[in-house]
Amino acid sequence: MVDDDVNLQTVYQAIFSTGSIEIVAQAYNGAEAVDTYTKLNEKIDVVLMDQRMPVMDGVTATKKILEADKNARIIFLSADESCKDLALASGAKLVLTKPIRLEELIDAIEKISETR
Amino acid sequence: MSTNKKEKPLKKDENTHSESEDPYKTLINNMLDGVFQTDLEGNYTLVNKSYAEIYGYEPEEMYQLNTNYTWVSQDEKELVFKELRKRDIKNILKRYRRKDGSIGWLALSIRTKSDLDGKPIGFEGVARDATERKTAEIAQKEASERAEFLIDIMVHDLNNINQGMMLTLELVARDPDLPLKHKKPIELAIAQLQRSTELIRNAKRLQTVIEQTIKLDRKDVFNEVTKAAELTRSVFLKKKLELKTNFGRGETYLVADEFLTDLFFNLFHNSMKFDKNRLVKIEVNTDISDNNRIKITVTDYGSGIPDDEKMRVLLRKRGGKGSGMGLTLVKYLVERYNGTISLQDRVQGHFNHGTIVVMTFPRG
Repeated sequence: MVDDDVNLQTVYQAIFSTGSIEIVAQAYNGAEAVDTYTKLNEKIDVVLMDQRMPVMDGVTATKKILEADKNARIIFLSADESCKDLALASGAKLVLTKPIRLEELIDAIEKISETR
Repeated sequence: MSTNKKEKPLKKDENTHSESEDPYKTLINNMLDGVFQTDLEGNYTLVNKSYAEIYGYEPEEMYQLNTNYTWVSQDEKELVFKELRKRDIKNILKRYRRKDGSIGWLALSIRTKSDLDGKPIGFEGVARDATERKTAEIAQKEASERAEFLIDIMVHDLNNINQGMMLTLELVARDPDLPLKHKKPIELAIAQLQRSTELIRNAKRLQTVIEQTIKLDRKDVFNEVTKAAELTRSVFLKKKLELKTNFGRGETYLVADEFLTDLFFNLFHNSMKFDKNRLVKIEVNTDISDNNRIKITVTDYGSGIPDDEKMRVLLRKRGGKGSGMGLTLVKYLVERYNGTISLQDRVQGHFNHGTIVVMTFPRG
């Protein structure tokens, strides 16, 4: 789960503390995401990626993660729909716009993780 | 002014003292645009009244000046003269210094003046004060940047906050131990959040529509209507949209752009929002009996719009009522496509039996 919004990260943790989806790791910027993914990629089915973050944005982080693991599955979850084309071009499997309904978010994660 | 590059340069005394004898010079002096000639060093050899007035001088005073004084920056001057060595310059905006030292903007056309053998002997051109125009442009740009900044805050920061609230509320709503009396308020809070999201989305779209250069193309209306319906269904998960059209794919085209989907989406969204039924029926029909224009109607069976509200909902202004800006966006888009829009009762005289949105556009 990659997002610089600390409150949102707390909400994601609460949501996924039960049920079939587990948050393996949380990163607060793109650089942390690349670093964390490199260390834990065996355990990660799907990366949820924000776009606008300090240090490194989501598109750059996506490219770097895919350079390290071309099979990485990354879902963009951004508040700004204008990044959609860039995100898909960088290799994201799906782009969702915040705010998204819980059901839609869970469906998207399950659908993309099944493509493994 | 002189239009012949190889003409002999006018002398100062010819311009200032002999104009009553020469209608040509009278014409130059009475022109509303500033006219000037200089030698290669930048010393004025001819200026008319309008040109001198721009700078706050009398024409006679300008003959004592070199153009160097009127330039605000040497870099700007060098750029202009570098370009001038390649071609004539038409209507560029440059800064200039007035007699009182203040700075203004000048719309300048300038070219190299040559003698009969083609040898450069100076420069000549016309100029018009553009300070008011440039100041308005700068103010417009600043206003636009401010609006973009505020919209950006709304889109990014508020949507992030909305995301947190939305997921939290949905998490609570899923709690099997949630008392029944709390279920309804939570659903209402989620609905309010969706309204907020809708407002943010439309504010962003409206800003894009207003700012973006219009570049229209041929669009298949059926495709756009279908896309808009799918988008609407994804927003209203608990309602069913039944859409009927009297046309199919590839049958009707409009000269529009990618925002055509937004036009239909906002109309459908409004119909879904204000129809209390779970099943919402919407009809989109086209009439191509007019050779020049296409008529598109969007009919719903919802709670309708009272007569005194029909115009107002299309013209949301600051301080006006309304929450989603959807119909304001629709009106902007219709005008963008050179169309017209009006709202009618589905059943004449009974506004609460539904609305027909009537739009006409040039044939695509």
